[in-house]
Amino acid sequence: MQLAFTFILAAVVLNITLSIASFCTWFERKGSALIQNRVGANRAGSFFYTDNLLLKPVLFVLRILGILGVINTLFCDSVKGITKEDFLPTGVSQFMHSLGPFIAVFPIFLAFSVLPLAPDFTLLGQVFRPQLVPVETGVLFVLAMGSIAVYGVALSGWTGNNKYSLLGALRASAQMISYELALGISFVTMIVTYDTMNLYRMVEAQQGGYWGIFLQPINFVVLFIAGMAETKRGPFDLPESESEIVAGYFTEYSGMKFLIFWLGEFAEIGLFSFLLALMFFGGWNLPFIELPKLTWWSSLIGHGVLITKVLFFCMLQIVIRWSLPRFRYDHLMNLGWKYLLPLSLINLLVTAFVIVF
Amino acid sequence: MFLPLISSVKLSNVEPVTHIGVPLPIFVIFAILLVSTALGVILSRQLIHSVLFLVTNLLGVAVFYAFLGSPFLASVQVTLYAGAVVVLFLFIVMLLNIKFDDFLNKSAVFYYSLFAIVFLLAYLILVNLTFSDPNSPKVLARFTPTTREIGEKLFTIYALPFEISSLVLLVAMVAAVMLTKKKNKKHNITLKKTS
Repeated sequence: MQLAFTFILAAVVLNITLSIASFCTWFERKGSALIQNRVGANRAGSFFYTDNLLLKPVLFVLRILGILGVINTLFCDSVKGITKEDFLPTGVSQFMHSLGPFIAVFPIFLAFSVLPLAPDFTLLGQVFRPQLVPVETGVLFVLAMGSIAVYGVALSGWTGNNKYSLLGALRASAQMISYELALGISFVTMIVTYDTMNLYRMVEAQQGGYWGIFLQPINFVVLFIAGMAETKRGPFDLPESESEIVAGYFTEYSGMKFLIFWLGEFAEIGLFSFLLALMFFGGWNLPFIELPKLTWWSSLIGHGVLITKVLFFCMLQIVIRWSLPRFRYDHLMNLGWKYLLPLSLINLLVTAFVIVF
Repeated sequence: MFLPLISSVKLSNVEPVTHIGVPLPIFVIFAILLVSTALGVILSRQLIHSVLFLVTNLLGVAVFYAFLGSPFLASVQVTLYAGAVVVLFLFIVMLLNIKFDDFLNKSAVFYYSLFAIVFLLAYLILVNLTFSDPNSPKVLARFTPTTREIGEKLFTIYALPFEISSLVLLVAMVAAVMLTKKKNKKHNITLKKTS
């Protein structure tokens, strides 16, 4: 029973990862169009036409989806990516060239496995925990997987055999390593605050309105900025700044390998939004409402609440990415080392003093 | 090196310690992986391949930590060694573009035999140590390395070594900063003039 549940949960976690990534892709395309006063993807699905009365409602739905850009992002893009020629730069081994995107994506997918998705529930007299790997050090595991993802970026830049991709890889690695410090210390602050590393217990500690955002508002700001820099997006997309270095570390990638980078990027956004929702915004807790424990329907509602928060943060990051201009590189390093790191350290010290005394 | 891990499987029946011990198939797979990647680090001609082998090796060690009941150590191993230290290796290797063939080709047999002798000696010493030290598996059973206990041990019994090692790291860091500072002095002045 528990084993079957684990297998189902593994499928569900992978599904959630991919769904959030594809939602972000869709919102990136349509939302950016909205922000820039464009129409965005709306052509796919528009050529369907039939006189058959039975097929008409189906095609109507398809056309609506096409106008919304859903068919384009979910279907056309991937078909195009798969059927495109896989370009390989000269003097580069196929194995190393393919390894880059794989390492960039795989750890992020792994990190999703430690996230709790809903409160516990009982079914047929057994208690189930909707968390694929109930590891005690969940937060650290996420951090470790994030630090592995640096290799994907560095490798893909190196195997590009190209100045621009190498420059992009160096920028990305330096940025990710510098911001990882502030990120790690703000994680430690949250661990000290809740007195646990387990993400599930962190959410449990926030019951009754003691949300992390009220306990640690400064830490939220630090974590949000550092996390956005870690995903290499938003105003922090120096590694792929297309006006200076063609496309940064994935200049030499085409077809599905390029799309895999996108997938990883959006999965990273989803992971980070999950962490924000779990650590700062109460996870599946609703404000002013206490749901009964250990029932299947409250677990379902909790899951919905959590996913809503996650999607909100995904959208927030994409909106920030499309509305702020890019940093200059020395400004970026200054922000990381001179402001965020001392701020997070002082915050950690103050938190520790408050907890101890 | 790995022998106490196997013997701890038997000991875990005596003491009510959860999770300690590596299942045999997983141990065999990861032992082969670890040894082969460790050989790959020293035998591969391309430096970047060596670095990647080193990362794989560190990740494999992290898997062993996780199976031995310490997910904390496993995460720290991945974050610090694989995620931070070896990335710097990769940086240097990527920028240096060293060709090993130039000075390895002539006397490859000599180098390989040297490696083999060193490896054999180290292996013999390790085997000897693990067999001669009767306490090594018992330490594992007595001490469950959870995060809290690691912290307590680190700040009470092992406080002095901990402080000394952090002091050494601080000295190294200051030295590194000083080294870069001297070289960058001229560069800074020119930057100021232009801006």
